[in-house]
Amino acid sequence: MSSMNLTTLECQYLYKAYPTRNGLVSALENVTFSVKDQEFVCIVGPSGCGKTTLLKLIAGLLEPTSGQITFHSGLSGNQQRTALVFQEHGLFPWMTVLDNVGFGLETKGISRKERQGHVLPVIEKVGLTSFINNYPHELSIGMRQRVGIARAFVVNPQILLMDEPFGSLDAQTKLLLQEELLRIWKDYQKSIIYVTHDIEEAIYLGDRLLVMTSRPGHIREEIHIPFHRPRDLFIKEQPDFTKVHWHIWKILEEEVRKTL
Amino acid sequence: MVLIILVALVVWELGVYVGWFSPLFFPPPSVIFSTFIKLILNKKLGDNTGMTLWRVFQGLLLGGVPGLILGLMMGRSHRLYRIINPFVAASHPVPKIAILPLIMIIFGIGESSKIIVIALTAFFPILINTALGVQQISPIHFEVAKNYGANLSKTFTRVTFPGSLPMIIAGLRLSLNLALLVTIAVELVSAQKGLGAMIWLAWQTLRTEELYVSLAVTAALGIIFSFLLQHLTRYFIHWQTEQRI
Repeated sequence: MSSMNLTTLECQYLYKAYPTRNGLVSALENVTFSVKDQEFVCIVGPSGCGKTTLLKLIAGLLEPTSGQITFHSGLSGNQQRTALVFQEHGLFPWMTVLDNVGFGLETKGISRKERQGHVLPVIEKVGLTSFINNYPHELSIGMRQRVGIARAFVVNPQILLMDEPFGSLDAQTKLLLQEELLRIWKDYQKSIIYVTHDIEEAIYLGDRLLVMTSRPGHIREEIHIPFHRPRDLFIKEQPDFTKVHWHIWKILEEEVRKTL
Repeated sequence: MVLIILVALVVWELGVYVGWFSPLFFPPPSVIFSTFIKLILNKKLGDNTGMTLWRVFQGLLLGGVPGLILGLMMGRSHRLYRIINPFVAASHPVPKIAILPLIMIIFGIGESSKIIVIALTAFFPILINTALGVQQISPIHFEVAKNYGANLSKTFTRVTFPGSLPMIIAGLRLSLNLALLVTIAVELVSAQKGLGAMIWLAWQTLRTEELYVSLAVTAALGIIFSFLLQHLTRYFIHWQTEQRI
């Protein structure tokens, strides 16, 4: 039986509201979806629709006002449920690449020597072996994001949560890193929830795409991405790709207009 | 810059000999220098400088450590900050030298009163800068720490402290400068030993050349402290260059 059919995460009727001067403001309303084992799920939505809030709820950094977040499998050892990758400022500027990537293991009391054994292979996967003793300010943004991704994979979480990790990159670097991410993902076979406002990116990367409405955000549509893996960048030129892209854009366009 | 100083010294030396400057108010550099040697040899300079440094050190420790701890706590807790900040704002501008008499009434005229005043002076810059240093750490760093499993002590040692270190060192720099200044002032007013006491005594006995030596040594201490802290800064904060993205 393929573990691909097992559900890793289930979110039900998530509702998150904040008290403000003008009363209660809903960020998320009635968000329901699930993520399967080893599935790459992309969430697209207009800015301010609550995508980041949703990730933080799943990561446990915020509490839902109501609704349920259920993880369906137990954790082994000191495995953490989720690992976040941020768009910016994710790395600690005062730590080297090696220390940054090993941070998630350091917090679990794993000795420096033992950490090296786990950390170095992942750093090699992202191609930064010659930079392990460098500091983030000595790296390009693309390299920094690779360090952040390495750090997330090293802790072997149940789900990776990525919040527009390539949002700050130039278009070309972004494409290359997308390819690299898929390559690494294939080796580690983890569930990923990937938030972006770039539709093309979401279709290229994802098995399934969730379209969120503007605030208060909820899932407007779920689209299964039909392309086989491995996918190279050339599929972006296929007519099927363009069709899906256009379809999703029409939905998203409505939602983005509401925020203008 | 060294050239300008040399020229100035030569002009000064000659000026006294031709009668431009009174040797009482402006003893020639040669006399000042020989007095300097004399005071080193009879241990007066060494003892007094040592006394001043010892007071600065005690005050810095007594005032800086609580300032650091409270600053770190205030930086992390908005509630604590709001409670304590008004007291800080009220007491910080009061010149601590001015409350020396009050301190002496409470603690006597001995060494402790002096150290307390120096400590109070050193307390505030470190407190304020440390709190600010913690507050300017990007919240994302704390979110990452929490997500990756850091407990309270790990967050402190690997995020809060290193993240606020640049500002802490800035505070230390200020505190050190002020502590030296206030130490000299306190010694001037009420001490038997120390550079400040030397300055006052030299003035009282009209030994102007000793006065100049004391002033020069005080200035030299200030320069040395500044130099040391700059090195400390560069060593610890090399990563700060591009943190502001």
